[in-house]
Amino acid sequence: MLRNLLRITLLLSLLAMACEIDHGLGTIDSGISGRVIFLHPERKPARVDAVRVVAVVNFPPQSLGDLVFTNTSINLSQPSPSFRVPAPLAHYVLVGAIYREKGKEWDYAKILGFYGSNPDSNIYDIKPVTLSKAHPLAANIDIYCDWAQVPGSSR
Amino acid sequence: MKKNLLLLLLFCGALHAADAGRISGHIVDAVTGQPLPGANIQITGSVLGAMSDNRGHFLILRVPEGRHTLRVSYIGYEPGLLEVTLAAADSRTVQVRLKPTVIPMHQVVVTGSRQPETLASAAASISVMDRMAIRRRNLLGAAEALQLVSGVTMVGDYINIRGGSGYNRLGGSRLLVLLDEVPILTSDLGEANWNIVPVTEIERMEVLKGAASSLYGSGAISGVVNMITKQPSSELSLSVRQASGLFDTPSVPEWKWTDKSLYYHRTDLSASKSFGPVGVRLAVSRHASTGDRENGHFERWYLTGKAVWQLPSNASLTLFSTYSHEQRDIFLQWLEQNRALNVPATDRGDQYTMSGYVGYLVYSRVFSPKMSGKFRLSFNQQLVGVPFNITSAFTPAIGASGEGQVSWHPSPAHRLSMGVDYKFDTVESEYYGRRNANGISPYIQEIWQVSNLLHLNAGLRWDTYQLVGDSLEYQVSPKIGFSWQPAFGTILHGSFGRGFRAATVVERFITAGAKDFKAIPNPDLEPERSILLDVGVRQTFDERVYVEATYFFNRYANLIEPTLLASQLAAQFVNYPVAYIQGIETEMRTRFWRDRVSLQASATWMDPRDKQTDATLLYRPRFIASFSPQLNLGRFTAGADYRYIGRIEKVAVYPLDERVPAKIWDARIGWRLQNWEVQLVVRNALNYNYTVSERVLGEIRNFMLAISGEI
Repeated sequence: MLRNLLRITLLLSLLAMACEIDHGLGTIDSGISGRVIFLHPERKPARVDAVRVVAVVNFPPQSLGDLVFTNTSINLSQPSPSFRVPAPLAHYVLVGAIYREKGKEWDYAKILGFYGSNPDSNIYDIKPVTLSKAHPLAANIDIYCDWAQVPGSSR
Repeated sequence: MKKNLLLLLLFCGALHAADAGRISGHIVDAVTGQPLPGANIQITGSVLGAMSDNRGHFLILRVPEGRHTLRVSYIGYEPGLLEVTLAAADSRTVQVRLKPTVIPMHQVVVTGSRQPETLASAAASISVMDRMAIRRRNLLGAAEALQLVSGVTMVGDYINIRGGSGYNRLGGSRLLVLLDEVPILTSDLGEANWNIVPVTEIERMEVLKGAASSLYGSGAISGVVNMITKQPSSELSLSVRQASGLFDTPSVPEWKWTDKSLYYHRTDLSASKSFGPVGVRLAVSRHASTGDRENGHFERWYLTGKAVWQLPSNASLTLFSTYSHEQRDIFLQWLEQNRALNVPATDRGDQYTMSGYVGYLVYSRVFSPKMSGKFRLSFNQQLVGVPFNITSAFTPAIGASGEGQVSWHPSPAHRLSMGVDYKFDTVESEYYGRRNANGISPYIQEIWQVSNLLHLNAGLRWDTYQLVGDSLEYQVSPKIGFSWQPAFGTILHGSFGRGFRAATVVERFITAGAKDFKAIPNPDLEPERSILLDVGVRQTFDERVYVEATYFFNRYANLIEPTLLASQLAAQFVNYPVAYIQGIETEMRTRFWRDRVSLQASATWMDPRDKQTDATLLYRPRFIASFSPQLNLGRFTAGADYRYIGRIEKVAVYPLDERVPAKIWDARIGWRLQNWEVQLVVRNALNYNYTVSERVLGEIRNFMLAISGEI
């Protein structure tokens, strides 16, 4: 019996050593990073309490599945905080920032700014971002956000 | 009404024989001599029977004089048949030695037809997870046990039988959960609290697959799980289990989030004894964990009691009471995939409290060898976890119910059970106000043994349900089924039935906003309905190999699922017109090398499809499988469980996220000395990473040492 047991143990050990162990999910290497550059910070409405960066596969988004976003608000106390959104490989037609008012829910119609625009230069092009196997990281995706464009902004 | 009931009881009471005798006995394993607790003992052709206690003892009272056949069955053992001849007012004591087998068909179950029947004669697909299987694995919760049943998987906290449930956060359960045949879904969310009773107090779990509203009414749309608790023992019995575990570091170094040791402890204590005609069982358990992640801490307490009073008039009174209380942190979703064991800073420290109480009183009486009755009152109060930090806005949901059931065997070929259920619910929250509801449901079931080889069954139930101030809803749920043995070792079975689930108060009326999501009410929600067709074959080869294959087809209409509105991150429950889930489920069991090695494997292929869009349904895998080898070498045991859950093809919230199939190995070795056992368990032995629901990682590898014993 002991001999059989040893044979089984040996066989299982060899089998285990021969297998490459699959650990499933790991870290995600692809993503979008840059800065959110706030213009006219003195006109930031007091009722705005959070800003998020979103990347959109289809615009306007038909479902939540069309969106990738940061889980936390970016730092509003800095003039140009940096951000990084881990994002799967895809073609994002729009990368922008949205804001939330105190006591309200996130509303994806409340766009504060998007990549490609620069209100100071009167440029309002929407630039897509593509993450591919060859280029999994998109850096320097700066988003200009003009507080003066928010309805009811301070004067 | 009261007068009629009294007359019926008096009439039935007069039916029993005045000079009846008693049969007592002891049931043991023929190989090891160990007592077999929880075995079913039945006097064939009558309603008389019993279940063996912790020491394998049983007692059947009021047995009429004459020659009787005693049928003793226990899962994993060949049935024992014994002829007993009893004179008037005679007492007989028997010793029954059962031989182990891989054939599960001799097991007696009660969930498939609301009366005892063997798996061989059951028309529906039923699986059983018994106390030996639970103990062998040192499982820590009831939901863990279910994941090893063929065709069953778990998505988030939702048990799926053949993909029936999906993942329906804040939506009601699509499988009905019973505790000793008492429904325990909460009255507000319609959810199951799997931690209402400690897993060590469960005798067995019967899983009925497919629609079963003809038996149990609303909620039994994709299946039923019946948790049957242990009986008090005749002699003093003390049980103890101490399990302590340590979490490993994550296989992805970036996920390590703390330098502290992460661990868990679980203690289960129970005592049982009979005082004359009253058997008592008490249990207390504590389960606490730091969790393997940020916001993973929880602490849970259980207190359970059961008392069975054998009354002199061949009747018994059972009082059961269980309370559980849990405080836990909330891990709603990870911060990001690169920090999968962290939560967003805004979620840190979020906690909620769950508490639940279930109690019931059952009066059972054998009026004659051909007729018995059961009358039940139950109370279910639950404050279950809401996934956001708004538990304080809810008051405990209360459900009270009553049931009367009579089983009648008018002839050896016919077994009839009929009864009436009544249920009252009251719930209150600032999110949906105060709501009361009630319903009454008569039902009838018949098993017709056409011959020793052919059993037919049929049932019908009429459910009414009304939210106070709302319109009356009613459902008629029929079912038919058969079980036929065309050749020795081959059994064909099939069933056809309907199921439904009334929309819960939360699904219809909740208006809430928390974290990133808000819910919008939909008072016009229709009940979900399902139709089940289930046809299969059970085949044994040489008493050593058992194979089962089943084709199932479920048609769901008006499925209640959340729809997400992208513009405002809001959800609303709506009815989806029609969906189908069809598939094939297979299971194999075998034992070899002088019964030292046993193997059990199952595989289920499913095609879950929305008829309108022809797309795959949300949160359903298309393939699940399991494999469980077990080695027994005298005092040493070793075993493993492998579970495979295919990649979820479609999810609602983050479809762009990477998803992988789940491949989980649990392994264990143990050493047994008399009534004590020491076991080392490695859970998720390969430290495989997968998501149990969106952005929630499965438990990382942990090592557990468990010591259990009985005095």
